[in-house]
Amino acid sequence: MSAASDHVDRLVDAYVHDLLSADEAGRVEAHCHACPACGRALDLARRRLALLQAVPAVEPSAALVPATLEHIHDYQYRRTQRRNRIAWGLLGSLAACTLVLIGLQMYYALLRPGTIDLLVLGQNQLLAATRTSLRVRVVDRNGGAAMTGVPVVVALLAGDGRSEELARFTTDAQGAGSPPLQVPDWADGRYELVVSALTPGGTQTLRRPVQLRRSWQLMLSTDKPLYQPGQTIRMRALALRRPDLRPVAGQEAVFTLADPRGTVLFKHRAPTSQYGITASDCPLAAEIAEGAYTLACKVGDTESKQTVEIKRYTLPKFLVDVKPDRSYYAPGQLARVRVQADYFFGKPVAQAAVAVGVWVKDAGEREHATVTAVTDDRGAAEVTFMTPAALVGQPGDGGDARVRLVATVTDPADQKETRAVERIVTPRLVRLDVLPEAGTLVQGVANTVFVLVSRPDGTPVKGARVQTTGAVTTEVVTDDRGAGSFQLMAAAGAADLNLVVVAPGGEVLERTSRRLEVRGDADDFLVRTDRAVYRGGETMTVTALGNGVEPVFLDLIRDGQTLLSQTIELSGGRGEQVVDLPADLFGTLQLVAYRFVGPEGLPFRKTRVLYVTPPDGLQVHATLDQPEYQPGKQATLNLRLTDGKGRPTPGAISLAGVDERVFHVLAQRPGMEATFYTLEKELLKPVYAIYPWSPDDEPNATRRDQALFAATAGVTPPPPTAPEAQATQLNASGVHTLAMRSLPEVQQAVSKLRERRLDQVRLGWAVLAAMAVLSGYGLLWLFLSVRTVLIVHGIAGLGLLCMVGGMVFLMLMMGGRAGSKFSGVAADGRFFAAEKSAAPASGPPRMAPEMSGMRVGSGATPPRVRQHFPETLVWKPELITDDAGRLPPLAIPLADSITTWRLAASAVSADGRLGAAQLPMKVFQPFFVELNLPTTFTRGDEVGVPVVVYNYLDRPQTVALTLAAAPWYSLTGPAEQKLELAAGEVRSTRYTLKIDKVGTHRLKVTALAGGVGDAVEREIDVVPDGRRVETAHSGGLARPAEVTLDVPANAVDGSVKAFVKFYPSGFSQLVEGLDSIFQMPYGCFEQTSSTTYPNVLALDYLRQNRLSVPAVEAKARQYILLGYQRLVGFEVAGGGFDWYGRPPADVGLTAYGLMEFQDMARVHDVDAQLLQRTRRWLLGQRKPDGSWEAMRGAHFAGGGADADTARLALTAYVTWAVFADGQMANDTSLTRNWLLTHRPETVADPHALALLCNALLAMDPQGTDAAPYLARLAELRQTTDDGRQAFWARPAGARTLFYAGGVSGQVETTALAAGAAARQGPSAGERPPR
Amino acid sequence: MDPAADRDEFLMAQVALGQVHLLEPLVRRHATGLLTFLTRMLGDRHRAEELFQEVFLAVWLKRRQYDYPRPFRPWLYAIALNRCRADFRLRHRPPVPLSTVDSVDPPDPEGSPADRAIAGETAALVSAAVTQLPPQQRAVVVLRMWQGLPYARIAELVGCTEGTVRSHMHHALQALHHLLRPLLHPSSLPDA
Repeated sequence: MSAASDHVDRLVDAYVHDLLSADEAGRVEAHCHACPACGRALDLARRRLALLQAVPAVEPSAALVPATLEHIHDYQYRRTQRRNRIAWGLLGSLAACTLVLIGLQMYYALLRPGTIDLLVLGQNQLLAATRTSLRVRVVDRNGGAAMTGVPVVVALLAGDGRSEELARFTTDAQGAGSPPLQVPDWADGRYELVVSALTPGGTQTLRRPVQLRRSWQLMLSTDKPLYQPGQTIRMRALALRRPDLRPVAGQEAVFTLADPRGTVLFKHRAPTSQYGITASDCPLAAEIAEGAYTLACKVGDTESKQTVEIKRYTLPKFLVDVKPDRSYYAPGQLARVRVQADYFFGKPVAQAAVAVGVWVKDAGEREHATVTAVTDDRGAAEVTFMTPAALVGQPGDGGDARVRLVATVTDPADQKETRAVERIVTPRLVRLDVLPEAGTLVQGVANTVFVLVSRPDGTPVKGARVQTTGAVTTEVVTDDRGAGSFQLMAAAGAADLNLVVVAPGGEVLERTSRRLEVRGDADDFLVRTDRAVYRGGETMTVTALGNGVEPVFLDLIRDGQTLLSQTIELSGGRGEQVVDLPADLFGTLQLVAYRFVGPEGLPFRKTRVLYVTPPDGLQVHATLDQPEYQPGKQATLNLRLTDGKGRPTPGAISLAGVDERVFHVLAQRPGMEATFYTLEKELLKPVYAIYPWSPDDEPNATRRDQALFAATAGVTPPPPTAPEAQATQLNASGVHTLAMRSLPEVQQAVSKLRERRLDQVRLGWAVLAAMAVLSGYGLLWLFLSVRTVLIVHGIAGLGLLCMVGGMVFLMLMMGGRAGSKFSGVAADGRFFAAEKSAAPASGPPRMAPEMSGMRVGSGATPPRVRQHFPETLVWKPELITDDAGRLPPLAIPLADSITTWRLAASAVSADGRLGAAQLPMKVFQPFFVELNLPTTFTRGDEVGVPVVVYNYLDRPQTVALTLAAAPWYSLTGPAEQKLELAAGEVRSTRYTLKIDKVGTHRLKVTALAGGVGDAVEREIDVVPDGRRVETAHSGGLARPAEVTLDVPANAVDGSVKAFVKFYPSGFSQLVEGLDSIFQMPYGCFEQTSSTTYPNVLALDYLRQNRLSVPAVEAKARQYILLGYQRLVGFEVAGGGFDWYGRPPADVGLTAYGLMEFQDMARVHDVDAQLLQRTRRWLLGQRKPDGSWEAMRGAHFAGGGADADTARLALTAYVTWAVFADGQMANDTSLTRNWLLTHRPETVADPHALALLCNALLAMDPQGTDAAPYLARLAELRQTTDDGRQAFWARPAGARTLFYAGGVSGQVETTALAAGAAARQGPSAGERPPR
Repeated sequence: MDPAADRDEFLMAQVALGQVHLLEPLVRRHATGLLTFLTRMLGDRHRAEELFQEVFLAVWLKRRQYDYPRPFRPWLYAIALNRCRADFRLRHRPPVPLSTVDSVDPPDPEGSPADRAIAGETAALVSAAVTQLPPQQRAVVVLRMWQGLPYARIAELVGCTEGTVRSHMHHALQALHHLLRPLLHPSSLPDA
């Protein structure tokens, strides 16, 4: 009997369904035989199997198979239909696209521009709120006909959408027009000028950017040309608007004074008045350095500069005039030289000794002869000498030589003055200039050729006969101006002329030959004006000669603006146009004549310069109430303004009264404003090259003017008519800065459009091809078997692979040839400027307390003491007249100087007319005494002070001189002296003084003679005679500062001076000596670094603070470049640096070099690979524990510290260098861990600790690691006794990493510690001072 | 006629080459078996006939994927099985309850009408019971019972191991044991 657990009833189904293994099946079968229950279960399982098997198969209906086949057939049919539709659709689309592309291709390939050409000539810079003009011409290039009656519109567009129509006109018979344009008063900036011509063939439009600006002309003037320390520079600027030169009111002017190094010492802002005048006074410090200072005045972008000399000087005592009898001499010729000497108060220097030295120049300058004489009662003397027979010619004088005559005059009072003049010595008798009227000869036209005959000094030779042979045979006789002219019909090539100049007496003065170039252009033409110098309002007749009928266009241009435009019709090779010059037109004008020549109609220009004198200049009428004044009295000056015709004109007058003697220390020409404003010297340069000429000199010298101006003629031929040149716009010349034409633009536009569209069509073809390929590919899938498609894929893939491979190969080949790009470091063009505001001007001139005359009672009243001796007596920058041009009488309190004052008045009217006048004002008294003092005395000197007595009374005088005693000197000899003077005599005596005290003192002398007397008191500086001892203190002014100065016990009494200088920043103090900071690198690595590293840091500072001065920066960059080139030469093969570039490299030195190069990279191009290579080399030297060790014998070894500290310091330093700025960030962990093993409290050396802080901050700028070390560093900080300075000290004898000990070591340690604290930034802890 | 030329595989190879008319013998040859398989799988004759057409359309469309001389029949049934699975996914057909099954044509048309009726009803109940099985088990049972495929071939068709197929069969038989109990033990039928 089987146990229940052995029953297999659960397996019987598996058994009957053959799911059991053979063993299990056998077991089940056996068990079922034995077990009735399981046998029943097996039976049931078999019945279940039978039930399942008894389920009949499902027979398909008769229709199923046909329906299935029909279904397949239908599907196939529909699919084929769909496929065919797709295929046809694709093919149809492709065909349609092909047709469209063919059509577009043909259309754009055949696209051609029109033939209408719009030409515009003008200027691309327009002055706001002025009138200007523009030349517009419309022609049809198809036949070259000018298009008349074409409406043209000129408009100006602003970027913000504003627009203004400037002109609207229709073209004239030449298809041209030159409308006057009123430029709007818009802000300065870029705008767009649009010119549109409504031609029958469509609208032609030209657009060009133009610059709208305001331009001023500014003239800065000072009361005098040179100053002494302690005086006041009085400046005045006159600002006039270009081009009409009307005063600019209400503009801010900025006056500056810069010292010889360019440091701005003074800055003052002032608005211009209604007459465009502004003024400023700049007092000079008594201690100011001497040199050439630059004054500048800036209004808007316009700046006017003037250089003034600041130095100590003494004024001359009298004026010496040297007049040779000829303006030039022949070698070996007798020369007479007249010397005239006059005191500045008008009296002649009689009985003065004259010595004239004749100096010649060969290898050097040597004295050829000295001749002497004595002046007569009129102050005149004459000497004669023979010029040397042989002299060395100088290239600068065209081969002529010069002699220098130095006249020294010593008056009876032993006062000495010297004056020198030069004269040319030449064997040539005349100079001959031959000038064609147009600069060059014009072929086929009767050219006027001017001849100018002059002496070597430029004076004209009248009546000379100039005989010409060669290209023309003629003879002309020169007129009063030495000028003559003849006509020359030029043939092609050049015209050779043989010229002989014959004096009126028949003497042949010159034989020469000249070759004149002939321009051979068929369209060349000649423009002739009846004169070269005009007055405003006059009529100018312009004649044009040339072939053809093409008209000649004329533009009158001033200040870059077209003022007038005219057209000359040519008929029979000649045309004439009368141009009425506007009355308000004056100055230097450019006459630009041009024709549009050739098939392209390009302009062929001729320019020449004309000068229009102001039609009606201002006249300044200045009169004094007396012809002569006494010192200390008052003069009255009457000033009045009229125009040229005497009509009263209101305006403003600037008045300066300066001691005449000042101008004889240096020369200056006051009252040059009219010339300054109206002469364009650049344009007139050829005139100046020929003769020292001014249009103001000889306005009626017509022929000579014309001859001179012929030299200013210029020709601008049309640009080459090569296709590429045609494609571009008109070439802009100097006069027509805006030159444009529409045809090339249209051609270009059409060409561009054609190219662009054809490109698009090509792109369309490419897309179509791609679509065709894709369609084919799709159809491939639609119609072909998978196998075929795969084969096609394989072939296509192979082809594609080959193509890509080829392209990559080509790219690699081309890439290998591509150039490298270099980028430079842009220089910051900011100028460094230290500003220093000056103290307000000093008070009014100190006047003598008593204004009495020289006459004294019989000993009762002492003579008036003359003690006020200013160099500038009066300075009125702006005196505004009433409507009648009058000023109330101007009272001028006179100083005590006995001299002639130069009163210079410059005037400007409201409409910008200028005028100037100069008036001498003599101040004199017949008896006076004068002290001749040097600029300074030196303490301890014993000097003889000359006292000069002038007696112009009509009788002899016995003069009692008394020198007032003063504690600053001791007198050697009596204080009272007597002098006997004849009438009109000048004599001197001397007082010998021993100078005892330093400082500014006064010296007074009194002269009394029978009823008359005079006293003079002058100021004199006494400088100390000892050794200069300077002590400097510096610091910030965050709090009130107090400085204690130790004066040496043996300091010279009165010599102690304290100067306080304020600087806007700490570094600006250094800027004073910036030139010396930057040094030329030299020597080994250490020396090169010692010079280069400061250069790098200083330049970096300047640039970061935008203080860089270009000149200084250029110098610094040059030195840095040299230093860099030297430093990289010390790199050892294999990496790292050594003192001399020899292996092995030094770790510490390499880290130092790396740090220097990294800093240098901020201001200079440094090879990035060098930096990376050096970092890698240093990392390669790192020990496995993350530290660095000093190399054997290395200098950078940590100095005298113990080995562990030295290693810590070196490791920290190298870490700082290698990992600075986040470099090699992935390699930090090893070193960081090693450094952090040194607990803060265990590091006692502040130097190593400071380096450690910097190293940790380099790796972790957030400062998490560094915080405890910085706290420890703060603990080690020491302070001075007053608690105001902090520092980090090291034990005596300890050396830093860089071998610095003592104070240097402390400075280095303090700098490193402060740097670390600064890098961390302000934290909760106190921040160490920087 | 070459006997090989009449083999399913050769005919299918010709069909793959575009001989659409040779599809007809294949359709006819496998019509009963495939329709039976589809009917047993779906439990819905109409749907089975629709799917029948789709299966042969798929055979035609996939003809280029047929790899001669791979056996045609398993390939056909694999297609059919995939269609059924797709149909199950789309339609979520609930199992047909045993009490609502239609009668199935008796296997023996020559029996008495009562026997034929009983046999038809029994066949319908058995078919319905099979339809109650989960799809995977049902596929194994149908392929095994009515297509007579060995377990190894069934494993290839359904995409699993033979052991899994045997496991599915085992569980299906256990389920059928309960489902067919009323047929073998009438007393256990629920009261009408």
